[in-house]
Formats: sequence, structure tokens, C-alpha cells
Amino acid sequence: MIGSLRRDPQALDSVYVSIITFDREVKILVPLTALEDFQIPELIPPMSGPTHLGLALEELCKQVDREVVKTTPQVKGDWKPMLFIMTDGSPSDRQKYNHAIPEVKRRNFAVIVGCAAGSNAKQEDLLPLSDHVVSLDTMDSSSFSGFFKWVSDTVSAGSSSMGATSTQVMPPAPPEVHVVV
Amino acid sequence: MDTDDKMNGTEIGHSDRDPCNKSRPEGETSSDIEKPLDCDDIVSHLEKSPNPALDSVQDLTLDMELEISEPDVIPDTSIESTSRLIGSPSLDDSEIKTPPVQPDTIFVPPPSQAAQGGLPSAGSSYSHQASGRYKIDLHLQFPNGSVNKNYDTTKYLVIRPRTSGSPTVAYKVICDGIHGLDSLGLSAEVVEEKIRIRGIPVLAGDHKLIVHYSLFNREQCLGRSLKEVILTVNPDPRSLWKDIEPQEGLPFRKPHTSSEKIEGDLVIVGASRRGRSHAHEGKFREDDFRIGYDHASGWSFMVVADGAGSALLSRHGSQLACEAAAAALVPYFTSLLGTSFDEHAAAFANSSQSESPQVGNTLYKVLGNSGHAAFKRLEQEAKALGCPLKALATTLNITLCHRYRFGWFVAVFAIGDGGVGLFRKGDSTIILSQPDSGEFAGQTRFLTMSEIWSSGKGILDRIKYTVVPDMTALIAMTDGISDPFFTTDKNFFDSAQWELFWDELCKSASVDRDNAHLESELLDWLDFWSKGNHDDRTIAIMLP
Repeated sequence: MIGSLRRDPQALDSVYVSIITFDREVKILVPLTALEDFQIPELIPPMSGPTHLGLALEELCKQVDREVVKTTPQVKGDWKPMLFIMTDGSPSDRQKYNHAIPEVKRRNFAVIVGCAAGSNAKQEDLLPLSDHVVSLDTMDSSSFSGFFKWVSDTVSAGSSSMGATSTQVMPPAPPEVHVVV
Repeated sequence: MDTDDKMNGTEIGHSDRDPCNKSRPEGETSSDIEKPLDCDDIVSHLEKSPNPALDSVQDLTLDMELEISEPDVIPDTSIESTSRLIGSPSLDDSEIKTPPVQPDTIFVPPPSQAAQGGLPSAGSSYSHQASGRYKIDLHLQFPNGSVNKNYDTTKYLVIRPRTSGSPTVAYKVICDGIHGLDSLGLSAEVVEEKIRIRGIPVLAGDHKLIVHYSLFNREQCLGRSLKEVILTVNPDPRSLWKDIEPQEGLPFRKPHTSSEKIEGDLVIVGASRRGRSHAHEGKFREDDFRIGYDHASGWSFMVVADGAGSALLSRHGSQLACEAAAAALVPYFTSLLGTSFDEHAAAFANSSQSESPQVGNTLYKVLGNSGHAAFKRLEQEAKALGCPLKALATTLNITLCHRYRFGWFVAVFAIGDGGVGLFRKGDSTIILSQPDSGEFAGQTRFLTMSEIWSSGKGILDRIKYTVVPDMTALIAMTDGISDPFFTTDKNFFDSAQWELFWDELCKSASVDRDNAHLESELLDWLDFWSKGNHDDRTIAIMLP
């Protein structure tokens, strides 16, 4: 995904990426980093156990407030951020999760995409948060690469065609990715 | 990018000694090397190899004696070649391929085997190691480079500190050379644990580098190994842009560039160019403009519009808005803006007031109605096409200018980003448009928003006018130009920024009313490069 974004000149000029992982712990694996400077971090596979999505969203909101620059007379703002959430389970901290949803929505993301990966993932949990929910039946490499290709297409489209009034137009999803209506 | 200014040029190619053959006096360092960490602060992280097939993996300890025969660990030839200045054309890649070493692992041979290889000279102080394979957790990552952009980074080989429970010892890693840089346009200078890579990358991609190193415990070499690291080189974005024709059969086509020049009381010139981001995706130019001069009345005008990137038919919206506004404007030149207006303008010019009710009221009718005519035209078109009005969303600014005995009268009505400035070289620039940006990049207001037309006060606030005895140029532009040159609203109101902008413009185009090539020079200039700014660009200029 990063590799294909790097080949998009508009994205290479303007996209910043941040990665937050969540299992028992919530970790900002990569703070907001220019695509140009981005280095694939070592991913430690999460242990089985609780899925603290609610806590992750709280952390996300703090991070957005801290790192996303808004326009003022003195400062040029960033483009609206985009949020992609991937989970193979359902939020264990449900109360926190429900509380975080309106907070996330207030952050004015250009798009929020939820991805339920694998049979244990609960799509319906992602629906109240996301503008689009997609599911992957299998967690094999072709499903993931299809999904990430689609994410990068979405980011590419977003980095060049964002306007004030629109919600983002999504590129068509590949066959491995099911769009949940 | 990491750089190290302290790097002394005399050190280049300095590491021609064999680090494993030489016992180093305690504490020896090159005085001109700045070390990021004191050796004693580096907590060793020598872990057991995770591979169970490897025999007798042991923790390193310091209280046992072991003599290591260095040639059994790695052939001398590879050391000689890798420890030179890597990346020099004289170096043959084949010399340094596949040393018999596993990545991130150091093999300490058993004492008997080591003894056969010859003992080190007597008197050397050696600490002791048990034989076996040891996993080395060496931390090394180079920042990304970019093709055609100078790269210069200095890194140190450091054993990653262990999180807990290990004694602090003086393990040190010495780099023996780097393999894999030759084809990238980069070269390395290696001095002990310090690696400097520099050059101008020529090849994009994720490139594998092999870093050869020796591990020392105090002055004793424990063995050699290598580490594979990925060096990412970004492509040059300029090489990635495509110039794609929009699909055939799409409606409301428009040429990718357009320009026009009119001579009246002033020379008026306009130029508009499709942005790279649109060319890359086979989209149309969404900007548009109209310029005109009315001989009968002496009024000049320019209308500039920027169709919203998010709106499906904004290329059509911007064109219609320009046409409709210009069409609505022209009749006023001989009515409301006719001879009766001359007196109001003269009175305003002679007064010390910054506003005049008569001038303001007339402009409210003229500019407000012209803008509103453009709005109505888009409403009508949306109905005819059966599309939502916002599919035609566009910004709009209308600039009027008239020469009087007392000077130039200028008025502007503006909705959305971009803007209009009355530039006076060496004097202050008068901005005649108001900031209209949202909190995120790319957000602005559009002609098609009902809020624009909901109050007379709102419309009046968008009208600015002034009289100046002299000016260098009156310039209207879309955000494709104002974003890269001014970036923020504050800068747009800063006369110094306008001077810089003007100088930059005049480097590429001779902005002179007598320049016969002004249109084409402006079109060429509109193709300028600015990181992250690849929108359509339109400029319209009035030159006295």
C-alpha cells in the first residue's frame, strides 16, 4: 500500500500516514509522518485477548487534535484526514467505544472506513462509526493486498479531489472486499 | 535528513585496517568522531538464537577465557574489499558477495578450532567467550532518500539496549563495509561504527543493503556478521505525472489551456492552464476566465472562476459563471456606471473617506447583480441538466477598472479563495478580495452556496473598491497560484510577499504591455513546480 502510494505523485507530495495498533494495549506505532519519510515499522503481531478499539479511538482523537493542522490566517491547514480501521474482532471496551464514536465524528474526517477482517470480526459494530464498512472473508494475503490497494486508491483520490462540500467519492472495491450496505 | 557536519574529509576511506586483527588500546577513539553513545552506556543485547537447530547457543559472559582465530570467521579478502570506500567505481561487486556469515548472527568457534588458526600474539588481553552462535540485535535504519535529491546521512552501529537484566558491558560494533549502494548513485564512508551515506539517488525502490560488521568486546573481536537493511528511495514526483486526455464523449469539454489579450485603456491579459493533478487523472481544467474592455465607456473587466474539485461538472459551472457575470456586467457600463458615476467616483477620490455611499450603492447593484446573474444562470443550468446545483460549484471574482483624470478606479466582488491584488511596486499592495478559506485545506465558499445570497450585508461585504493615482498591475488569480505563492491569508495581505511574487513572475514572463508574447509566456509560467500544488492555475492581469 505504501509502495503504491509512493508511485502516486500527488500522494507523494501531500500524504501523511499514522498507524495506531490496538489489542490489549493501544500504541501509536507511527506518528503522523510524511509518506516520503515513512518507514514500514516492525509489526509485532497482537496477542489474542481484548480488542481495545474504544481506547484506540480516544488516542486517535487526541492525536488528531495534536497533529492535524487547521487553517488560520497565519497557518495553512492540512487536508481533511481519512480514517481506516481494521479489526478482526469486536470492541471489548464497548462503553468506551460507544462514547468515542461521536468524538471521532466531530473530528471531521473526510472518510471513515471500517474493515472487518475474518470470520470473528463483527461488521455491525463498525457501522455506527464508519461511512463505509467492508469485510474480508478470509485473512489471506490476496484479500489484504486487495484491501490495501483499495485503501491506497481511496487515499490517492482523496489527496487530489477533496472539496469543501463533498463527502469523499470512493473508488470501486475489488472483488475480495465486500462493501457492507 | 540526518547530516553530520563534523565529518572530517580526511577520514574518507580511512577504515582500511582490519579491525579484527588489531587489538585496540583501551579507550582508543578517533578524536574527531562524535559518538552518540558511550560504549559503557550500551547495554548489550546478545540473545540466544531463536533457531533450535543451531547448536549450543549461549549467553555471552565476560569471565571466561577464549582465544579466537580470526581467519576462521571470515576470509580476509572480503574484509579488504568491504572496508574500502564502498561505492567507488573501481570496486567489483563480485569481490564482496555472500560472505559465509548468517545475518545478525555471530559464530564464536570452540577454542580447539580457534587454536589451529593461530594464536594472537602474546600479551594481548582477551576476555573469554564460550563458543556458539549469538544473535545480534543491531539497530540500524537509514532515512528514506528521494531520486534527484541530495542525500547525506550519518548513522552509528549500535547494539540495541536490552530492556532488562543484562550487565552493562563495553560491546562495540565496527562496520567493515556496505554492499548494495553502487547502482543507486550513493556511496558510503565508513569509520569504525560510523557510517555516512551520501550522494544523489538515481534509482527509486526499496533497496537491500548489506552491512558487514565485527563485534568487539573491549579490544577483542568476537566475530563478524552482516545485517540486511532496506533503504527506501522515493521516486522523483516530477517523473510520475501523466498527461492524460479526458475520455472521449464527456460533455462540456474545454481546452487544457486558454489565453487572451485585449488592449484598451489598459492591456488586459488572461491565461489559464489545466493543473497536473487533473492532467494525471484525465480530468478537464476546471478554472475559467473572461476579460473585456468597453470602448464606449472605457470600463475594463476581468472575471476569474475556479470550479470546485469535488463537483462533477464544475468545469461547466466556472465557464457559465464567467460568461453570465460578464454578460450581466456590460450593460451597466453605459447605465449605472455611466457619466453619473463619474461624479461619484471623483467625489470619492477627493474625499478622505474610505467609503462612499453613492459609489457603494452603485457597485452593490452592478457587482451584486452580476454575481447573482451568474448564480441564477447556474441554478437554471442545474435544473436543465437535472443535476444538483452544487455539481456546478465554482468560485468567482469580478474586477472592474476605469481610468479617470484623478487616477484608476478599481472595484472587486469576490466569492471563494484565490483573490485580487492591486500591486504597486515599492509601495503597498491593496488586496481587494476577502479571505474565504475553511478550516481544512481546499475548503472555501462557492457562488452556488445559498448563504452567499442570503443577506445584503453579506453581499456588500464582498465588494471592495479604491482609487489609486498609479499602479503596477491589477492581478486576479485562482488558488492554484495563490496557494503556492502566498500559502496563508496573512501572506496574501503582505505587500512584501507580493514583491516576491512579482519578481518570480517577471523572471519567466516579461510582464509588459508591449510584450507581444505575453500570453504564451504566462501560459509557460503557469506550469511552475511547487510541492503539493498542482491545481489548475489562472491569472488575469491589467497593466496600465
